[in-house]
Amino acid sequence: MTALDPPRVTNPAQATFRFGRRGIAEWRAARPPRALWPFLASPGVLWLCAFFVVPFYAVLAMAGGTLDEFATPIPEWNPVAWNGEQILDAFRSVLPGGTNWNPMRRTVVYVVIALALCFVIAYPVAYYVARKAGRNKGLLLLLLLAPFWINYLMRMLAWINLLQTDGYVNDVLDPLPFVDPSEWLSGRSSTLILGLVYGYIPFLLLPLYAALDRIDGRLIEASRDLGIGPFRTFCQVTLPASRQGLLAAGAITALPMFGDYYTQDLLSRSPRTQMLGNQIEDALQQGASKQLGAGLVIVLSTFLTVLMAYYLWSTNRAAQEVR
Amino acid sequence: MARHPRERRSALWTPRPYGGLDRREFLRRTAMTALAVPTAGGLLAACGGDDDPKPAGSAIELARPDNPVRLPTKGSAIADDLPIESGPLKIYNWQDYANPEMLEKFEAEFDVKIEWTSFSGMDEAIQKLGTGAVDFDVFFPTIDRLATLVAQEHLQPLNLNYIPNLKNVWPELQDPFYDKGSQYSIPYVLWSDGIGWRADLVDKTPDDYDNGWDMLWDPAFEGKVWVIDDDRDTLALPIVRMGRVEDVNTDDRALLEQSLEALREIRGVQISAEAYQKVPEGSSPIHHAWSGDMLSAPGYLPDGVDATTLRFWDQPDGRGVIGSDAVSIMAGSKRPVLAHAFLNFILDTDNALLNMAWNGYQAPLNAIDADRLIADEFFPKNLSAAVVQQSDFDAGNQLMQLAPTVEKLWDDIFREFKAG
Amino acid sequence: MNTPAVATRAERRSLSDWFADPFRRPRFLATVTWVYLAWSLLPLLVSIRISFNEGRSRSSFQGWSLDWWTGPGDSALHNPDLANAMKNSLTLGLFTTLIATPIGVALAIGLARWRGYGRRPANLLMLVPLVTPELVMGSALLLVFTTMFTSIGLGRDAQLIGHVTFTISYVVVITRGRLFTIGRDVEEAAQDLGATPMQAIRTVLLPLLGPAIFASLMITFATSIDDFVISSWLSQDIKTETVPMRIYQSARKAPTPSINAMATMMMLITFVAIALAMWIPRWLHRGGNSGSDSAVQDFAALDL
Repeated sequence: MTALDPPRVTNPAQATFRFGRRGIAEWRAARPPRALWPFLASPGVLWLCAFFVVPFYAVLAMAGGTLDEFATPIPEWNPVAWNGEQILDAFRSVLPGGTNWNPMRRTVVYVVIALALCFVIAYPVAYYVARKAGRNKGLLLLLLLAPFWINYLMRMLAWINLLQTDGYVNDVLDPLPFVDPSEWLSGRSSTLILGLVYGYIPFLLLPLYAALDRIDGRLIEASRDLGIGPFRTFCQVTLPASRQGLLAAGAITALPMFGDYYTQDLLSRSPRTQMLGNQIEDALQQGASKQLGAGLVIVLSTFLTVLMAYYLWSTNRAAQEVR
Repeated sequence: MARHPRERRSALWTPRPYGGLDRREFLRRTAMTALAVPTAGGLLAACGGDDDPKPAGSAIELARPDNPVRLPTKGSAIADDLPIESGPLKIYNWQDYANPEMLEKFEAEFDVKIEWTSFSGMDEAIQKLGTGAVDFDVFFPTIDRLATLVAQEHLQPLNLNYIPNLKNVWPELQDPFYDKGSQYSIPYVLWSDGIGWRADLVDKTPDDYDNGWDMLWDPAFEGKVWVIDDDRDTLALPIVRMGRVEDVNTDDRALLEQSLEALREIRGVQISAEAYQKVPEGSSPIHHAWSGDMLSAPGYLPDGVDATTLRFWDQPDGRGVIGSDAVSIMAGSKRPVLAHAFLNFILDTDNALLNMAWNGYQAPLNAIDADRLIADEFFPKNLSAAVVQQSDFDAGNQLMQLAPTVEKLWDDIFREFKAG
Repeated sequence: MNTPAVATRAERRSLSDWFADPFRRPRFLATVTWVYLAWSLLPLLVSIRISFNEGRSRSSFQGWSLDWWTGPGDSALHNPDLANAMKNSLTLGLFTTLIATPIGVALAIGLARWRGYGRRPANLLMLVPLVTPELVMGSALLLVFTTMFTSIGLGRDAQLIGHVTFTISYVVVITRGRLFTIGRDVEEAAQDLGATPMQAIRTVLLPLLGPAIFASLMITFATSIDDFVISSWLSQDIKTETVPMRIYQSARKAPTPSINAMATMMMLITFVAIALAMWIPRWLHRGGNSGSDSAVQDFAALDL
């Protein structure tokens, strides 16, 4: 329905009565002017332009800027004068053979594994809470939401407490055969990946829950009534119906994960687990390397934009398929 | 065994008693006796008058012991006899780099509040100062950054009339090569680079190796070795190990890359700037560390761990990396007189000893005699190697000012190391 | 080859159980869910328990005491920096909520009804912050505040702006979900009855959006309080440190249980705030339809 649709008046006489002699033409004029909606949206749009779009311009200006005589970076506000070669250097550094290739490769591997683990854990949980929990649904939902109210760092701190060499994780694992008590916090990729899963899984659960909750139960029933087995029902009904939700959940979880740096900082301080986010943070923290840092921010944003574009493209396509 | 919180607090804030004598007792006693040590040649005029002409062309003149530098005058020092402002005094310093009790003493003496903001690395700090969006009064730079900070007009010239205690300082640091005439800085504390470890977790010592530094490279300690999160100290580590200690201020890319390769050979190496907590805690059994970090480490030992397990080793011939840090006043300080008072305060021998008792870092004051510190066990005997001798300081090599582009080179190569 | 085949079939049967459908008791799913919840929440209980330790250990339980909460010296209540950090976090959370929610709700209504050029780009602009890593946003804001908008500089204002920027989108997404379910009919009905468009929005649409607005308030506050990255990039000095920044600094070193105590205290404050946010609408609509349950539902429906 759009603002141009004819007014929905079931009884024209009544409408005439209400609007008196001025009639329906006048009434039409009283409908929200087209400008009202952009007007309502404007504070938000302006805010995001000023504090989200403009900052990216500042990043570009820094990445393409110059150094003064003390090797302090000076931003260059004129796009024509940007040092493109310098920005390209940042891109080259994440390619094989570049100085940031290892962190880049590692970041992608970690995020892919962590995301896969997140899905494996979250899908059954979301499915259960959305479709099977029955009376417990409210309680379960509250518990699922709990991590949102609890500081991410507090949750990480909890794990640091547990993973100490003399911590409870080792106490539990100790008696088990073929597990040797370990230095979990001595720069292990596995600890880091589990940390990422733990930190980001709530972001995956919620959209997934929402998507599964929306699926019309009758679809599944119909599929069963047609004698289709549960496995095929899942593959051919439930999974496709939740595909949009899966994509959205994947995007909202994975993309921010690419920029994570504090998880590695807390759980491991080893070059073997350095992620791209750490390199960016490090470069930006060092005066003279700010340009490289800004350049890497652009690299990361470009990479994420490509993923985002793919996401938008596939949701669009999915929407069209539904139609 | 749990201790009363008050007791625990003091255990955290001052190193524990050794040899049955209370630490505080030592502190007081050492302060007394140390003060009696004659201060030979300690009365050099603070404002020396040599006028080295500054060569044109380079943005920053590189100060070296054989090429002392008088920093350019940017702005003017405050006038004499101004009234002391009210607080708060805003200080920007490393984490845990001053005794809170000393700060409290200053607060009480001057009836002001101190606002203490900490950073975890010099780069991070200078980055933040460079934004121009901060307004600290007192800053604790390392001497290799001093000239850049002055050239960029971040620091203000000192009026030494407010800092009579400068006379307490070792003569060579009253008029140091990096800041002739102490125009912009006073010395803070001394340190040397070495290896700290917990003897109960590690079955070897650097003395078991022909070259003590090789301990860090021993494959037996895979995953147990940590290095300092600082490009200068850590890239200098392999250079010192190669025996090229005089090259710790190199501008030679090849040498730095060689150093990078060497660092990558340390198996499972990790990086932190918190040796003073991580070593006693046991999470980093072997740590390339600053001496003072290890001297303050006993205060962070977990319950039930014997303080004698803490060890420190540095190059025995004293020809390792050694240095002193500085204290300066920010150009934009709104309380310059109070800031001067603070600088004078920390050069007082009693205050310096109070600071040292918690912080572990020694002040280069004439009255503080390294041999006495060792003999009186001001610091535990097993850590006496971490006490900096004046002779070590003269023999050692300092990390000094680099040309801006060279500094960036060090940064870049260290980041490559971090990239793994 | 017989035995494996049988095993496979049995396996498939048990696997198929959980793909299965509404009529069987989903034991497998229930187990996974409860194991997940234990995994996600038990560490927190351990962490809270440690804040009551008598000793200094943060890896094991050592007696009971309130020393790390209220004791002299290093405790959550007596360390002035910790108290200051808590004040900062709460103030920041409150102001972020007050600014981001109205802007976001208006943006959501606008985007949902706006038909015409500019809607798609605006929509995209709203979505992108949701998936932008905080590192990217934080560093971009740092650069812009220190090179371009230098009058804002670093500190509380910058932190507030940063928090509002990254929470607006959450508000929009939550509100939008509810707008879709409401549809346009009621608004039109109101206008049919003579209300001006603004009146229709105010008197009809906003009350219907109530649960979504409460959900937005909750998530905005919680996200702001939780944020570490933006606050830390835009922080000026100790005066503008927030609780997550303190936790981060301490967790990197060797924290004492006082950090656990502070984090627990913060968690309690958040819980009280959330409980209030859920209880107030219920109290306002005594006897009527409670809005808070659907606020939870709306929040849970967080969706791109």
